[in-house]
Amino acid sequence: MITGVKSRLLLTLVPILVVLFGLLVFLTFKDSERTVLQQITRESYELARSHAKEFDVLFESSRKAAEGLALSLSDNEGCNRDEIIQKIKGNLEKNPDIYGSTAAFIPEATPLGRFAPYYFRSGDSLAYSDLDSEDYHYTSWEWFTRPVRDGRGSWSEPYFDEGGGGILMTTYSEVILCHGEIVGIATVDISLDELVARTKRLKIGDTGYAFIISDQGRFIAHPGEEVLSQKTIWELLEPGDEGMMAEFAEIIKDKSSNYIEMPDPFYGKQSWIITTDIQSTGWTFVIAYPSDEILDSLVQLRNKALFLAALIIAFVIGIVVLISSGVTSPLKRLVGQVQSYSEGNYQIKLAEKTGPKEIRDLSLAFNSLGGAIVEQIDNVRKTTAQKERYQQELLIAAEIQKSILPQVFPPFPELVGIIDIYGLNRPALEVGGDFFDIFRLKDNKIALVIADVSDKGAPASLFMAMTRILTREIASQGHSPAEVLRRVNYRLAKDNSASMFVTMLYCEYDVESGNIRFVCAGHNAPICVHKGGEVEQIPMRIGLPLGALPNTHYETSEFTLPTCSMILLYTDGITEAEDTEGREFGLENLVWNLRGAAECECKKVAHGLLGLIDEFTKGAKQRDDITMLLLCRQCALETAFDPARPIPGKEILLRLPAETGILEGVADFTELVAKDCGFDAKGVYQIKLALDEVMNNVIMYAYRGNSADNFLLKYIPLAGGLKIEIVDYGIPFDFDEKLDRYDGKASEDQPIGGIGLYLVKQFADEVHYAPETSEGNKLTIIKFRPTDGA
Amino acid sequence: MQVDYKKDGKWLIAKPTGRIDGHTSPDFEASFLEKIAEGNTHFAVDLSKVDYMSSAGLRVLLATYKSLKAASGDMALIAPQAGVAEVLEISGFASIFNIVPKAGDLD
Repeated sequence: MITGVKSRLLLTLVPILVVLFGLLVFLTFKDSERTVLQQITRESYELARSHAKEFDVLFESSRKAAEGLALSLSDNEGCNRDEIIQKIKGNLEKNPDIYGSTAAFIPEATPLGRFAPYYFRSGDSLAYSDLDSEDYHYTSWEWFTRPVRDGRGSWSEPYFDEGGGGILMTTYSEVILCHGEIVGIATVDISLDELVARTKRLKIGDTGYAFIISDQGRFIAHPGEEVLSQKTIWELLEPGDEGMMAEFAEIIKDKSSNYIEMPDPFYGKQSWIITTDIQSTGWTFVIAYPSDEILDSLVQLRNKALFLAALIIAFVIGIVVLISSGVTSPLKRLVGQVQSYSEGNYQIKLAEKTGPKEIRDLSLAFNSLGGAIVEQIDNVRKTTAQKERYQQELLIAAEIQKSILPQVFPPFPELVGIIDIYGLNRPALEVGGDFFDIFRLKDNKIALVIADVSDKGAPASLFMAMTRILTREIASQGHSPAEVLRRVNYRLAKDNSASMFVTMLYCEYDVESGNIRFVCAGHNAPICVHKGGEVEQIPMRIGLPLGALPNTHYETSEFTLPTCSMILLYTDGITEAEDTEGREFGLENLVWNLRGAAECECKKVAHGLLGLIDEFTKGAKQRDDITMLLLCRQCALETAFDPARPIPGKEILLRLPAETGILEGVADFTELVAKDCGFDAKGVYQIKLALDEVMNNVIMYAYRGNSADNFLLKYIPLAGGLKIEIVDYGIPFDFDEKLDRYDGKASEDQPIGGIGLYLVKQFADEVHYAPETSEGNKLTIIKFRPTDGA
Repeated sequence: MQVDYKKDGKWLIAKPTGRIDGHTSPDFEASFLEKIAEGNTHFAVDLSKVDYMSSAGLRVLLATYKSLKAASGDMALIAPQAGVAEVLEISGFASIFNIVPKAGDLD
């Protein structure tokens, strides 16, 4: 996979460049090829033309010389031999191009008879040769017979002159006329050696060459000696030959100038063949120019161009590599540095000072990011450290707060066996606003203090500490409980800038008599658990919370704690403990769970209660501080006691709120009691029902369902059964009248009422009602166990 | 307070669970009367899951019975437990209510 910038650029650019340059070179080459070919062929043609011209000039002047000689001898009957000879010689002298000349006469036509004196150049002088010799017989030669036959002058085929030294020659023969009759022939010989040599020397490129073909197809001046045989081109042609020689022959036959690319007929090499006509003799001047040589320079040019293109591409690649490296190498360095970021090394500064501006900007941006991260980390570290410090401080504060609460139990070892005291505090937050305190006062009295600051957390804990110190300090001065609270309140209210307040229950307990003097500053009333298990909320005269108003007076309530009884001081964190659905633990629940707990150890009760609360709240967050302080006035005899069960054979007194919600609980409790008294299931059911009906009556009719009121319930085990007393302080009712309302005969239009009491009467053995006694309205139910056989 | 209702032919069978006492009776009564107000004229109370019933429960049954009579309907009680049966017996209410041992015995 190609992902790098460099590779992408190269892969894109290089093929494009290669194609473009290739196309350019190709087109240029093609164009140049055409131009060069045109030029070379034209040049070659011109060369051929000029040479042909030269031949023409020579041949023309020679022909004219021959014609002049012939003319001078024509119609000249009086000419003698000497005169003729002179004319021949003069002709030679006048025309230096002429090698030799003669005037040969038809023997019968003139008086001269057989006469053919031939003069030719030999060195600087003229030599003579008599053509009318034994072995020559001039009248039979072609140069003589042809003009005579044709009646006009013409050029002979080139020939090697055997008599004159083996030179290549051609002869122009012109007729000598006398009165219109041919009487002889005047000839002019031209040596072709010079021309042939010049043709041979002709340089056509490196390997090109020129040659001449005669009218008859004979080769003249061909560089290949073997070609210069006596054979004509026609003789060279094989019959039916259709090869290059035949093609060449066709070109030669066509007398017009021509150029064509074809294989060289002699060497087979692809060549340009350029032909032009030598008009005077009808010969053909041919130039053969090998094609590859023509294109050679072109190929060289093309190669140069290709080389140049390659050079340019290489240069472009170099530039691309350079530029992309300029981009990618700073990027690579950046990547390395950013990786060190991810390894947590934010201090590294990305020092990218080279490379494109964008990269430098990126580098700077990363630097500031790094700085920001470092700063952020520093902030978080600081915040965390601060938070940890606060947490630490809170923990220390919690420790301090805990240490100022009484922690050693029993607090007064000298009173063990007389009183049991236990206190417990569990703040909702690290530090709380609740506290309790226990300290000795003079005259064998003990102060019990429980308080709840109107807030939680650190401010509450400070206020709590202050309150606790003030209370201890002022209480130690020997004031009455009401005076202690008045003074504490004054001090707290005076400088209460935070408008906090604290509810407090201050108790002065007389160890001797069990008498308690309470002063209540807006706090929950204490609960007493009596010896028999009766639970009662001690009535309080309740004053304003401490710290609310500076000049407040408090009143004292009194209560005597019987032996074997316990008093519980608590804060609303217990009764207002909520479960996950927001239901409160409640006072009734507290009261209910305390029944029969009097003789238990205070510590056990406290932790039992805390366990119950936790079980109730089922892990819901504790919303308020939980504090309880318990004091038990111990009886001499210790008895094993399960708080969930009544004590068999013992009287049990319950103080219950007047609401129907208690009915089920009481029924359950009654079942236990009745079973303890030996009743069977039917008896238990009947007792439960009778009591239920009576309690329902009390709640609904005596108290009109007002749960703020209490009534008492007392179970008294009898030898043969169980007596239950129900005492209320509500509206008495006409027992007899109500009892008579229903007679046990139900009818369809039965009025609703009286049925309950009827059932009580049916199920209980005895029912007594005593309204408005000193104790209240008392209803007594007695149920006996069925005796054997009964 | 928990009541399960089930339609069985023309009968609507109410099956309360737990105690019917002075505390819970108002809720049961409201529930029953609501069903009757909906037009159920044949109303049976299955007492098999009621382990305790005081006179307050009797009052609920009586009130239900009366409102059914006013609507020319009928009422029955099904399978009371021993304690409840005794209360019905002793209170004399057994004589006015049609009590059957099981739901299939309803006519």
